[in-house]
Amino acid sequence: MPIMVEKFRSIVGNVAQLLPAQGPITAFAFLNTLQALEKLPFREGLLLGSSLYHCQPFLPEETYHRHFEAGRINEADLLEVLEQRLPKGDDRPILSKLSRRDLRLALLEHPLQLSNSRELEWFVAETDALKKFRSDVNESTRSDMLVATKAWVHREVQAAHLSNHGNTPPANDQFWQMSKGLIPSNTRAIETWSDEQWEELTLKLLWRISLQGVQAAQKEETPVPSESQPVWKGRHRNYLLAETSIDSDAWVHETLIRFCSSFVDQGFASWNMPAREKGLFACFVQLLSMCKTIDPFAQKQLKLELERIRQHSLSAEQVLTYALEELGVGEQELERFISESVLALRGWASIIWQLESRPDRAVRPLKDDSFFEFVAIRLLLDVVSLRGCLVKLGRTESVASIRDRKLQAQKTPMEIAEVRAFSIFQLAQVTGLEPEGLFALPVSEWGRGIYEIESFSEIERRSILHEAYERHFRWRALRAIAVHKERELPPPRKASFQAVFCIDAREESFRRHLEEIEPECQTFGTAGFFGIPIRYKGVADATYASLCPIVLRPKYWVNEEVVFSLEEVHERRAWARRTLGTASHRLHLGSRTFTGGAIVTTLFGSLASIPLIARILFPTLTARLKKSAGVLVEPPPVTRLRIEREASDAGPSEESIGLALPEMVQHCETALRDIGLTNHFAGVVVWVGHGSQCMNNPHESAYDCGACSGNSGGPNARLLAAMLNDGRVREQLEARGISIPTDTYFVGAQHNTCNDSMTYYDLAAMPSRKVKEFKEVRKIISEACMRNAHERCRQFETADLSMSFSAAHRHVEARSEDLAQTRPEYGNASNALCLVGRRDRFRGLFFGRRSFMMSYNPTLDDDNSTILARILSAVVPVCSGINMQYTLSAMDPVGWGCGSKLPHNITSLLGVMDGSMSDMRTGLPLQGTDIHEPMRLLFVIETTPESILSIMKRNETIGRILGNGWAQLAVLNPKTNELCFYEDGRFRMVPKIDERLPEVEHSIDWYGGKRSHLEIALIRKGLCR
Amino acid sequence: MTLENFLLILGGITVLSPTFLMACLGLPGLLGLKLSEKRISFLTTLCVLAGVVSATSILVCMLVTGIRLVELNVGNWSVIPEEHFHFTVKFVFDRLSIPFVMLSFVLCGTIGSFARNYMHRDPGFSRFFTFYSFFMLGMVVASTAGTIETLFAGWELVGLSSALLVAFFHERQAPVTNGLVVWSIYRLSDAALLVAAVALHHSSGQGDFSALVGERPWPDGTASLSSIESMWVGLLILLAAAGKSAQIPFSNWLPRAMEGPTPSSAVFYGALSVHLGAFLLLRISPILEQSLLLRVAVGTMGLSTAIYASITDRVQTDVKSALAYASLTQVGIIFFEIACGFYYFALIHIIGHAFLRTLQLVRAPSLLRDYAILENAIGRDLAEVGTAKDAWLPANLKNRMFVFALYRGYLDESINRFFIVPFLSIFRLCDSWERAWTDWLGGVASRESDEVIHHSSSIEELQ
Repeated sequence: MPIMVEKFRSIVGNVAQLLPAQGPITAFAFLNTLQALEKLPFREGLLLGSSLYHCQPFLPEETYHRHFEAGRINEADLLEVLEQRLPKGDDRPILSKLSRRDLRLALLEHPLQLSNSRELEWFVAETDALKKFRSDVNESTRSDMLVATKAWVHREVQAAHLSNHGNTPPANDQFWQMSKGLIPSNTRAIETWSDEQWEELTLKLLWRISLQGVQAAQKEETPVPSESQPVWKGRHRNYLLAETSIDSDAWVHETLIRFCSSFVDQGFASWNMPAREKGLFACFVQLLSMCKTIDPFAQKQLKLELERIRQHSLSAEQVLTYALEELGVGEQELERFISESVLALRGWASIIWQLESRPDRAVRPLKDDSFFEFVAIRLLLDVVSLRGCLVKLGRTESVASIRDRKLQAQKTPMEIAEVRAFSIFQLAQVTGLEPEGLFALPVSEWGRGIYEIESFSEIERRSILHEAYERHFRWRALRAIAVHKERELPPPRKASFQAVFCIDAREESFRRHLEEIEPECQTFGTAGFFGIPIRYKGVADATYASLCPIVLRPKYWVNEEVVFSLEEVHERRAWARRTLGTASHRLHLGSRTFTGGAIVTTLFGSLASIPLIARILFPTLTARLKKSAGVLVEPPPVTRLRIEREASDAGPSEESIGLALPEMVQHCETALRDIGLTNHFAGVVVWVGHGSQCMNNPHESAYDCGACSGNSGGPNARLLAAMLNDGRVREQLEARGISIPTDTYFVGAQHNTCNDSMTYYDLAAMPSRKVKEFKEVRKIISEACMRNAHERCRQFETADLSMSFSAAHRHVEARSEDLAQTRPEYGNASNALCLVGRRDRFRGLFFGRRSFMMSYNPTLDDDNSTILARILSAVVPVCSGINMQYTLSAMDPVGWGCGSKLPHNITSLLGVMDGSMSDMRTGLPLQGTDIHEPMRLLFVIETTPESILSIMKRNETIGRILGNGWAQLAVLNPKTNELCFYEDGRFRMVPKIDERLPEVEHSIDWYGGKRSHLEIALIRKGLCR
Repeated sequence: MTLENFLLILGGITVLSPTFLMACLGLPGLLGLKLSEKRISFLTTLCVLAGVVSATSILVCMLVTGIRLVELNVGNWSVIPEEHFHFTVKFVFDRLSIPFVMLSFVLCGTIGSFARNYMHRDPGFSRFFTFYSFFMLGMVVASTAGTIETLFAGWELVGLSSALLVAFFHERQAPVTNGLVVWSIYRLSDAALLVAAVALHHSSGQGDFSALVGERPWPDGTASLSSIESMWVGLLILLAAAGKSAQIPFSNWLPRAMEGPTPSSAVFYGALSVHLGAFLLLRISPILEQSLLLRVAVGTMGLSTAIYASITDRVQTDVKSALAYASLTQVGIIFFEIACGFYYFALIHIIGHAFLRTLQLVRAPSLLRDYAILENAIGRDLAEVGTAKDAWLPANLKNRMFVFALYRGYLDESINRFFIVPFLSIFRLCDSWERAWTDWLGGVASRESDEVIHHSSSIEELQ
């Protein structure tokens, strides 16, 4: 028994890893949903994940066909992927003359499949499928087929004519039987037939031959592709559902959602769940046994079970064992069974696991073991609900025996034959298989033909189409980089100013515009927490926020404080805020109660019409008014960070806030070395964090900085700039080989990616000699804000394409203030590339906001690539996590993503449900991913193949992600200037390409007037002068 | 042009503008044409503006001239003298209908403008606005109706569009199921209203409210029915109003209705259609005054709903359900006010409540942000600040009340067990009797249609 319990525990532990790793939605975690499967090769992991989650692993086939028609996938892409995946063996021609490759290509290029005979009937009845060739058949194939059929029919008519006159050879009985009713008895009539009549005859012959062939083959025992049948039998619920249309999960989920939402509530409901402190299992047992049993089925069964549990004071482990015994789950399938049962309500399961495993991320975390108890309860409820269903159905069998019945497809052989014949019928048209050739085919060949078609399953087809889709983009990007790399690198020089941005794909366009406006400037990219993992509390904040990637834990505590001279003002205003806040909170809660509600609604209700109408009809004006009014209660404008720590250890207490001097030096050095900024400092260096501010959006934090766990990275930038301006830090940096000129001044800033505005920090402390220079920089950056807004606007259908820069800027400002706006910005949607290397290698290329950009200078790195290894240990998981989150959510928006935002309902202050009651939805909303092209991220790293291989070996996470293909990898060798793509464990060189990229003067010349994704082009203005 | 004519024209515009919108949005769909998002929003804005302006003008004229009643009689649409049947369409503008119409227009207009951005690029954009126009027309007709049959027409439009909007995301199961729940309860209340209409016609010979409650403008009318008649008709109307306004025992459809897109939940269930029951009671207020028993019934229903909803509200953890129960609490109180005879007070309560709830529901997706702002302002965790003070309750009672609230007063289960299941079994029993009877009469199994197997003829013949 204890051995079994240990086993259960380890299985439940594994299952927890499978859950989507999304905690409270206020800090959106961009992690790969299938993180636990990254140990498998990509395709295998994805397919396993999709079968566990019951989600789509690829886009629907029609979507790929649309892309094929639009040229987003071309035949060369398809052929290359197809050749790689073509199974070997038996290469005799299929269906008279097709090679396996041609057959598969035809199946990939033409949508031939119909799922069932009803659809087929409708199709034939409503279209002229049996009269006209498919529209995608090309003209020469069509005319060849008509000629061949004409010749064949004439021959047969001739032969029949001769045999009627007693001559040999005898008439072909089989032919005439088959074509009965199609050829008039007066055979002379066919001489005058029009093309249309011949077309109809050809198609009808083709149809009859196909149907006959398939039927004959079905009578024989033909090899049918065997569905892989593992030990896994499936859940009881699926059997019952298929058989009786009763969903036993419905009651289980209702009970669980009701209970869990109250149990995990972070303080929305005004009554807390009693007995919550006893733990999930004990609380469930205590409360639910008080429930009245009005429903005589599952509810009553539950009551009986709960009474038994109370009587024998059973533990969660015992209940779990009992439930699994009742369900009759074999040892082989244990893990799979528990996984699928838990994943059926994965959102709630995952929030419970997150609250247990990351107590630092919530106000009210859960105790250890909560998830285990959840699993026990879930399985018990499964048993109880199934029992209830059996009672309802009047059956006396045991729960375990539900799975003894067979899940059978109820299709007659005729229906199967028709569907099969129809796909061959269509295949024959697009590949030009003539009726005569098919007619002569022996039965065994028909069987082989069916086998060949059906063994090329839908998933396999979509998988190939998807890879071709990915390949198309990959080669376009790699070719552009291959062409661009031939340009000579500009010599090192002192820039007019330098700006360091987050790695985020949204900053690609910003940096490009900045370089276009001021070609003498230099930009860098790095992870937006700038390497300093802090907990930050602003002067008007109630709590600390973690500003570092979700995979790290913050090390330091940093506070913002008001400068001494303004403290009085600050206190006065904080009091005003507190009073106003308490009043509006009272109003908010009061409006929902009995008496309070009556008073509030009757007396002040009508006043609500003013903010309602103002907010909705005049969002920008209202926001401006609110802002001006807000000035009265805002914290005073001059604040500073509390940076330096007195105590030896970091902590939230007064004296342990901040960093010690050696730590400051360490972080400054790392930050500078990571991006290769160790000399040629400009007079002004701006560190830019970013965040997003928008209305009416539960997923707001998904638009914030992914490297700051869904918070704004401004404070990190501010902190770093302040530290770098510190004379003592500079002194020690000098000793470590980084000499910062006294003339250089660092400024921290924050870019609001939603309304494209820029906030600068600590300007009050700026020395006056720098003011003039900084003003220039600020002017350039403001101009870049406008242009960036303009480029972004092409993503928004409601924004006119012919807008001016300033109109575009007003448009994005209005978007961020609009209560009704479901797409305030598009976040990192459409990301596809991650460039790691010197900016000059990629500068001037238009990537259309699709590339993460990390600065790294290989010439400053050591032989072990220490810097690169350090950078990649954050960049690879963070960027590929963001990419997989977007990619999966775009692939199946309802399954992996959280569906449409429109019916979302915030629950327990932790996440959203669809409508009034549903699973907690994880992943990204449809409105955030609808422009995303789902592809694995392509890393292009400026390093040698050897270095990256050694890093992959040294760092397990990087090895897993890049080695197993969860992201694609290419390296740009700084020594040989070769570009190589990594595939199946080896590097393939991208051949030298003799072509020019499309060239334009400014970005706007390239993107202007267009909404769709664009090719990579060269922006001449962006190049370094 | 005389003042009367001017007012009649304004009244006509008020009613016709939503009709025009419905035709503009509905007909192209029937013809297979697709309107662009821009055009749909333009038409909506135009019609709402026309409605608001004309309704406001009527109000101004009435205030200035002191006229208290404008009647727009469209006449009998169908008269069968032998059967004493007639269907009269008539709209009245008085102190009750004008505020209600204006409320409907303002809220619908605001939400229409909200939905233009909110629903952008949703495949159901034009479907949403079509239902929306049905709803608006229904609200306007119901609030200005001068006869019970006109009111019934508006009432039906509101019910239909509401149920369809609940089931708006029809590719998922829950919205469709809940849409059906709402629809079933609406049908029950429709049936009650219809029977009430017939009963009215039977007792007073017509469905005109003025005949029923006297010629004097609202709320000073006096009922011409006897006390007993009033009670029966009133109880039927109360049943209708209870269904529409989600009073006990129908309360649980309201949180279930939160399946549609946020704007529709906001205006339709939070603000307008949930008050339609109360409006109906206000409209027949003179009847209420005839029967004490009836008033007691209305008051009891309202008060118990308010208490029930305010208890249940305390355990709701999702914002939309919480707002639904909060709405119910207030609607219950409004019913109680009506029972006490505070008609103007109830009207003010309705209007204030509708605005506040709409604002709250529209802001519901910003909850997390609003909480963060409040938390920062107050300076500590809101969970500590907002918890109810319930320490004085004995633990056992507290637990029981919690479970009672968590299970929403077991209303769903009870209706299912004590009403739906017996209802269905009676009909199934009748069906089995009928089947046995027809089988016996025919000598063979008489329901061939049960066993029809799908027979497909040769594919070739289908083309």
